[in-house]
Amino acid sequence: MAALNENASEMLTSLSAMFDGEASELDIERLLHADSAELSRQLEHFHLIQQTLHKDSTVTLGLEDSLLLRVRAELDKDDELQAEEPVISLEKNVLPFVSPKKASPSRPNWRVMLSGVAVAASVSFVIILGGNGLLTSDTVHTNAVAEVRTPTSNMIVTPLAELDKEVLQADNIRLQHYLRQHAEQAAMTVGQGMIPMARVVSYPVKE
Amino acid sequence: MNTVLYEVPMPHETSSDQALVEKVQQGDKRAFDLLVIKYQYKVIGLIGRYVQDRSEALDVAQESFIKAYRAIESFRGESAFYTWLYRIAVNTAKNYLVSRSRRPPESDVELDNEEVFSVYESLSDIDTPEAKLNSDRLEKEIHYAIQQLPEELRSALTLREFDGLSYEDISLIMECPVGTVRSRIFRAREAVEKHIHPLMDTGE
Repeated sequence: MAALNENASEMLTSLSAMFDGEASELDIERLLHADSAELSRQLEHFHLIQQTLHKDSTVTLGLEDSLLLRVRAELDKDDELQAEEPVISLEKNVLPFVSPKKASPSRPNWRVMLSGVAVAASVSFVIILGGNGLLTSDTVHTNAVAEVRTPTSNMIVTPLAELDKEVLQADNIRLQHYLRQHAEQAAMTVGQGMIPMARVVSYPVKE
Repeated sequence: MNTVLYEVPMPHETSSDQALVEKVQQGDKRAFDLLVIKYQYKVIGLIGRYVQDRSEALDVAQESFIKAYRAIESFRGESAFYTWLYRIAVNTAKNYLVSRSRRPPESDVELDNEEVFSVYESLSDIDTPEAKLNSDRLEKEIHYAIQQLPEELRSALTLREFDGLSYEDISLIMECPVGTVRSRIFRAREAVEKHIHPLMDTGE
């Protein structure tokens, strides 16, 4: 019985300290486990004394924890509504909608964090998938080129010095003519000459 | 001779509120209950200056606390919790008046002076001659009870209530540990409360 009174006295001392804004961590822990109605009733008296001392009229008694119960009921309702929200599988890459208004502190950020991770994962997945699609065609093409080039290792490459100079010169002249024609045509149709962009390559011809 | 200047702290603007807020942010709803219990009278008193009807004032107070709870994640402790809560309550009260097509007061209640005004004087159900009589009687009894307190209890309580000193400052003035100050202030309140208890039971 004495221990019970001592506990009650400690609790009220903690409440008095909290009322003055001087509660320690221990006080807060103690109050968190106390009866709300009792705390509210006691605080009402503390307020009454304080406000009377400050000639601040009087506190209407009887409020006790009625406001607290109303607030708590409303917040519990919020939680229930949140709990009733359909749970959507993240495996289907569908993001769960979390209303910012209903994101209550009692349901910490894990949902928001999880949806954030899901967004990041989905975006990454799409990028990788799309990237793979794009890269695949290039890769196939590269492989094809490689396959075409592979036989070149077996080709007989004639050294430039051994080529027939007259044939080579004729080919070169034909190539220059062809390139000039192409540049003129491009300049007429596009309005922007090809020449500045073109690099005319010709084989060096030994005189 | 050195003069020690004591800075008068604003009552209730404290780090213990911040500790409670952090607990709420971590999902402890019970910590929010404590904040409601602690500030419900101040909030209702404040709202009572905007919304005359007591029942409506309670509704607005409820809404204010719910808004505070929903927004508490965004509270970073840059201001005191009550300052933040005060702003929510005032805005909620104003919105309520606008929604009811009633004009809100042109100027806000000053935070520092808010408690100087009668917090409940505008609430119609206590603004009666009988209530005034009871109030006067209560005030008289409280002052009488304080005068009857042992010196160390009376000093601790008055330094706190009238001078607004922190427990630490009171401990320096009274040359005793902070724990003793805590205990003395509580015992003083307890004694005053016991004295006025019969008045409260008679339906004050």
